Amino acid sequence: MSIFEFFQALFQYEFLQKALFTSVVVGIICGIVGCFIILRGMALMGDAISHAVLPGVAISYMLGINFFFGAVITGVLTAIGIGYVSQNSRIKHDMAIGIMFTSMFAVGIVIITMMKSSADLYHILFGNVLAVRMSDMWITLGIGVLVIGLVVLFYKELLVSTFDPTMAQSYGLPNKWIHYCLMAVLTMVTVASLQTVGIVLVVAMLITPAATAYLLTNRLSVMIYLSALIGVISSVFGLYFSFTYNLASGATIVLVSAFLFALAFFFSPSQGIVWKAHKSRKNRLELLEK
Amino acid sequence: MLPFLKYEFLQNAFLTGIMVGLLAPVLGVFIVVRRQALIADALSHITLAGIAANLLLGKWSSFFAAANPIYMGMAFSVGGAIFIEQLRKVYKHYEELAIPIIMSAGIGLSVIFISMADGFNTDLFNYLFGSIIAVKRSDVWTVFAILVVVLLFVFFMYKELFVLSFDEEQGKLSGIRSNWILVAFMAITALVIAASMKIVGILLVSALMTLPVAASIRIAKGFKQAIWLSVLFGEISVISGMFLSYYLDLASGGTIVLCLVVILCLSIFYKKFTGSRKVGHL
Amino acid sequence: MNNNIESIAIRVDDLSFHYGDKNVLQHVTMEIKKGSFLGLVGPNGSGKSTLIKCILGLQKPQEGNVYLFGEKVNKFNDWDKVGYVSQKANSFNTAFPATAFEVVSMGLFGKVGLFRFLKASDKNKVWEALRSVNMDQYAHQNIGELSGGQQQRIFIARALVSDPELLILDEPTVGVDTESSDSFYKMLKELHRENNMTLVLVTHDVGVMTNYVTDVACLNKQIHFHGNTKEFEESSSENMSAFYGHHVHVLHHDHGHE
Ligand SMILES: Nc1ncnc2c1ncn2[C@@H]1O[C@H](COP(=O)(O)OP(=O)(O)OP(=O)(O)O)[C@@H](O)[C@H]1O
Ligand SMILES: [Mg+2]
Repeated sequence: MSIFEFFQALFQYEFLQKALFTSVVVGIICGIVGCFIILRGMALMGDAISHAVLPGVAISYMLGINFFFGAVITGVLTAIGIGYVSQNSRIKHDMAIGIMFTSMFAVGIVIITMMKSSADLYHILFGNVLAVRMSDMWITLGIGVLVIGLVVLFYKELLVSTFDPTMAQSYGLPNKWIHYCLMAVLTMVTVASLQTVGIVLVVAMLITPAATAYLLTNRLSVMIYLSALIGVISSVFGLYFSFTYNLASGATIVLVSAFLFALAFFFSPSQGIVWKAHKSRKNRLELLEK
Repeated sequence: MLPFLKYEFLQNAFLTGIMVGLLAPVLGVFIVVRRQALIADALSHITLAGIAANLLLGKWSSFFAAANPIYMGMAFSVGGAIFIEQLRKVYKHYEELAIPIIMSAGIGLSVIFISMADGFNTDLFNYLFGSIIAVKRSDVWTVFAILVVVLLFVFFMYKELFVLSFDEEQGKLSGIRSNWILVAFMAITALVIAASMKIVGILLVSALMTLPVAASIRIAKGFKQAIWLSVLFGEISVISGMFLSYYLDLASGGTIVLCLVVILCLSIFYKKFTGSRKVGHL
Repeated sequence: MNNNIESIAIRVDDLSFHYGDKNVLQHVTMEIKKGSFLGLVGPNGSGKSTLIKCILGLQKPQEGNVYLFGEKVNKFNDWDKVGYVSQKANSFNTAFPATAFEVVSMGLFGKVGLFRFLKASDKNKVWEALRSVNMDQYAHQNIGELSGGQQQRIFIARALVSDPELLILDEPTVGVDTESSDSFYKMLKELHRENNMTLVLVTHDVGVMTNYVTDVACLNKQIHFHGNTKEFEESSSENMSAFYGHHVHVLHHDHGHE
């Protein structure tokens, strides 16, 4: 199927429009939030929260309510739990994260096997954006507006507390509070991404575009725009491949973004490995000539 | 004999479980002290890609259809391990970013391979979450072979692994050629992950490697004791997890990990009530 | 004085090192004789630790060579002749479940060789090393449960356990109380005198150090001074202030002087 046919299909099918719209929104907010996640060294935390919402989602399914509620509750509880464990028991942060997230995930898996419905499970785990309902789309959009609004409003505070937490403290910024807000935002972004990429792959959506942008620029503002853009590109092309070849949408979206990361990793003009190797070889040659 | 063990598939699962309950924590000790839990996680995801690739190839070639997918999983996992170890060495700075990305690329690939093969089926479900009914006799023998290799390696390389985990500089000064030992260690970890997969499932393998260790190092005096305790915790949770899984009909990976979590909580409380000893951070 | 190859423990030959674009050592050349006790001083960031790492082959210099006991460092194999306590010795992972005894026994692994295990005689050596730093009663404590100064002693014991001919210590007394650090310096002096051990000590404790060492080297990217203690003391006040870039009082602590 050519791109052209894809566009035709896009005009024709409402489900495709919904899917595209949702995944673009997800690409944008994951890109934005991801920047703060990786700059604050919380990549692992992103992984943890996204896995930890599983029991919440499973319980919501069982009760027949929108999984948004269950997921937000378990996600926030996990974030608080990790904070509590690492502050009070001298277990270091990354260990606390690992422990909390595997336990939550295991609970989720047990609950889901009790449900005995593997089809739903696969959708939760790997996403199925083509089945997005109207209500999911509105939730995603709502979360997107909220997240972007928060980032715009608190940009300065986020900037300072990300780069220099001690200075932020001395300015009187409530670091702890900012951290938990970010966790709450992270949970919401996870929920918004559930339909598109699924639980297992949310972390990829969060980290990969931001990491790619990080390789390309040193300025936070530029990095945020770039990262959102890369998120959108991955979503659109991922959806195209998913629709064309009938593959799981989460996987194709994530693979496109991983591909973009690999490109930046090897070829970025400032940090790319190929250029670096080239440069250091040139340096060495120059030294030899001298 | 226990009624539990009269079926062959249960015997298989039981034997594999006991071996895995020994293997995963033994390697886990080194992984946890070197802070490489994330790498273990990444390897398990790459293993899944190998298994999925085999399922896909099996559609076209009778050779792959007949083969046990675990071998392809191992090949991918070992390849991934070597790749990651090189990446770690050369680009220290990017490790933290690159590994989660490799990991999700691994799972993305597996999902695609599988949806190209025949869509999601229960087979995949078993690989993801572990199952005690899906273990074959040939799996038991494969795991046994891995057990022998790993135990020999750890026994003869104990000194070297111990120094390298504690501080690599001292290792180099002891004239230890750290490179190939670390690569071999990663490759062996990859094998163990592939071996543990049937019982605990891809998504929870790393928990079986890290949680028993997290519990044991809170209590243990010394490194050897930490290893023995981890193995003890690993075995207790694998065995009780498998029983629970069988009688309650739940995915074995989930129940095993929940047992581990209980043990970990007990060790934390034990520590709280008995010791005022200084505990370090990990 | 006898100056042939035999009497040189460490030879650094026109060594330059940079981390990326950052120049840390420039054309450093020095010889350290067997049986000498060298104090290496210099301000923070002057490249002392880096020089030590180059000497031990833990960092590869971009230019120049290092010879240990006459052998190029990358060909050198007798690592049990060399003991090393790194500056960051106690920044290890404190939850690491290893006892003090296990940590000290690591110092013997180079000697024991691949595929072999520690023998009873090796274990005696570990006990001896623990006793020499007065830590034998803590042998079966986990290393992370000891105080900073006690940990430092364990690392010193690890460096001593293989009876090295050359002992290199990078700020070993940081975090050790004055009394212990005095007795520690005395112990070094004894090792130096009785076992004829070659010692290299990096320190900021200029005043105390001059009471014990035989030679002093001042490093700040380059070697600014290398000579015996007496020469150093004679030239010290003007040298040091020029060298550190501000006025430094070189205090002479008389305690500990025999
Ligand atoms: N791993 C590294 N990467 C980049 N630069 C480094 C690294 N280690 C040290 N440096 C830089 O090299 C210079 C020399 O460092 P070095 O540790 O050798 O100093 P030092 O003399 O031991 O200082 P101190 O007295 O504080 O121990 C410093 O400017 C430091 O910033
Ligand atoms: Mg230093």
